[in-house]
Amino acid sequence: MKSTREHEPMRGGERRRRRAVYALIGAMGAVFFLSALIGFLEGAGVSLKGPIPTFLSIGLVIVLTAVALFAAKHHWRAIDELARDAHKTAWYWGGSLAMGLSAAAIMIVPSINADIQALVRAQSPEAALAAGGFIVCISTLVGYLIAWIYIWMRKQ
Amino acid sequence: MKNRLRVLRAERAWSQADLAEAVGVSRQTINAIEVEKYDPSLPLAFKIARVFALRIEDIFSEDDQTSTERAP
Repeated sequence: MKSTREHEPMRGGERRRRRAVYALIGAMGAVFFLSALIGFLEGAGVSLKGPIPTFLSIGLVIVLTAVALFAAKHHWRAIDELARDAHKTAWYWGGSLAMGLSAAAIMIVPSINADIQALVRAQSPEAALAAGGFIVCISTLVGYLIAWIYIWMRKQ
Repeated sequence: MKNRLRVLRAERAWSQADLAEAVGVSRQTINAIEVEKYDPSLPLAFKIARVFALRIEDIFSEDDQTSTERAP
């Protein structure tokens, strides 16, 4: 295969894959470390319950978003077009379908006179609204994941 | 879309991994193309053609027409 490598060298491909794996491990490690730290503090009697300072929550969201974007960028560059196609198709079909269904379900619940606030154990209408958004996000991710597994298994 | 990847590889005694490395994709992608579960993008088709020193239409053809059936 020496001659073919001269046609189209695959320089840096393995390096990119390794960096993507390191980035993913780093992101997961960061989340794990934060979770462990919070658990340790709770165990040590330092309660984190109560209102979190706005600057802290905004800062945490910015940091986690930056880490997630960094990991996603390296992962996306490392995978080839078959893997990218599986992600895009899964997001389009699985993600959008699950998002639509969960959003419709949330809109239907009040129309059948169900107490949505009690249903999601929310303390206020604002908390119920946030819970609804969370449910839609999680449903979208689950739908995407199921579709991705199905598509990936079919392509193998 | 039909293709002659498996035949062309066999003629050169290349493995799927060899071809995958040459065109910069995973072995799974080459396998998916060979078993016609995935149609490659135009850039990837060009890369594959370049590696085999053939034209795209010599490797890939529509479902109802193989390249060997075409007039020379």
